[in-house]
Amino acid sequence: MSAEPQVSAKAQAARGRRNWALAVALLGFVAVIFAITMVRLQENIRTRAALDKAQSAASASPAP
Amino acid sequence: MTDLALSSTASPTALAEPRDYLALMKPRVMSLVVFTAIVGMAAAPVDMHPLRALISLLMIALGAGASGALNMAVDADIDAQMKRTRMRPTARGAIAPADAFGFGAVLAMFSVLGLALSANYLAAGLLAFTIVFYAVAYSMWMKRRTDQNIVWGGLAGALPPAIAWAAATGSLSLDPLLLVAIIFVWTPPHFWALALYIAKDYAKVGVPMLPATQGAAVTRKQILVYSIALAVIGVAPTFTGLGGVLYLVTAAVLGLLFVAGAVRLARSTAGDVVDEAKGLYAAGPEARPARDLFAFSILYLFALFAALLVEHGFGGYRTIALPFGWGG
Repeated sequence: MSAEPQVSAKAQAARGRRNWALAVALLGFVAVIFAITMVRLQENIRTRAALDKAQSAASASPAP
Repeated sequence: MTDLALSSTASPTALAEPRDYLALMKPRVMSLVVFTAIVGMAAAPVDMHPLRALISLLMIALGAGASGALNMAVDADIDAQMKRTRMRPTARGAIAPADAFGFGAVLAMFSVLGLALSANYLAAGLLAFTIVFYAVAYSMWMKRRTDQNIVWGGLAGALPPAIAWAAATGSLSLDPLLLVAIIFVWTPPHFWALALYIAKDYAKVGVPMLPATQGAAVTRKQILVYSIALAVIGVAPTFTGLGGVLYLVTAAVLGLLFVAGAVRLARSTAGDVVDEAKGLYAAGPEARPARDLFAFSILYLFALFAALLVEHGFGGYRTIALPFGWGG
């Protein structure tokens, strides 16, 4: 018969609280990465739009 | 009976609470790191997206937490014997040193990766350097080998404003390096003043703090030398345009008070006879000049950086022109 490790009630409760803290931390990390991605995406789209605008303005203006 | 009984004696970490892990990150040191990093970011001449700035500061804070955890993992043996540190999670056995090390390593990885994503590789590289320097060069090597330990260890604590500046601008210049220099030169008088009245604690565990290796008189003299250097470097940001009138007045007045405190300490007998310290701010009559300078040093650094934050946060310093083009 395999030996099931016995964990004291106190240790089990502490483990539960650690697990919750870990879950919150991991979800927080996911949220942080998502937020960074969105912000950088937004910044890159704006930069690209500004570059496109500058390029089209340059090509539209007559050569000196 | 063949059942295994997994109790707190099997692994100390079995009973560890989330707050023990929080303590592992040295929240008080973290708060100082975050404060100086905020100032570094506010003083940088580039505006950062607020969310990216917030996340970058969080990553710098987590990096500081990682350094704290790694330091506690390495120092668990000596922390347990020192009054000042015996309640740390690794010292009182709430978290096993190996677990603290794993926690610190994972935190370090996440913080560096997070800063690389939210800011840039330069800031992330500086953060990685800071963590490794504090955990390896200071905690594992210098702390127990040289009485100049806190001089070089102070570099790790001095870098956060430069990391934050690099996060905002993607580069480094003289201004952030001046902020680094201020904290770097501030660290020895701050810690040696403390060491003068808790020298017994350090001597007991064999950490070669200056008062134990060179004596209290040499330490008091060294504190004075560093304090004069600090007073001079403290006003330097005014000459590059980083600091304005408010900063200049704050740095000059507090710098003079710092030197005055160091002169008072140099003339005292603080550290010649060391009683058992009762706490960070509890000292006998002879050690009071050391205790006072230690307490004042905290106020000094806070006030200096707060002045920069007020000037850059509200832009007021640029409204008053200083002579010879000082103050930007």
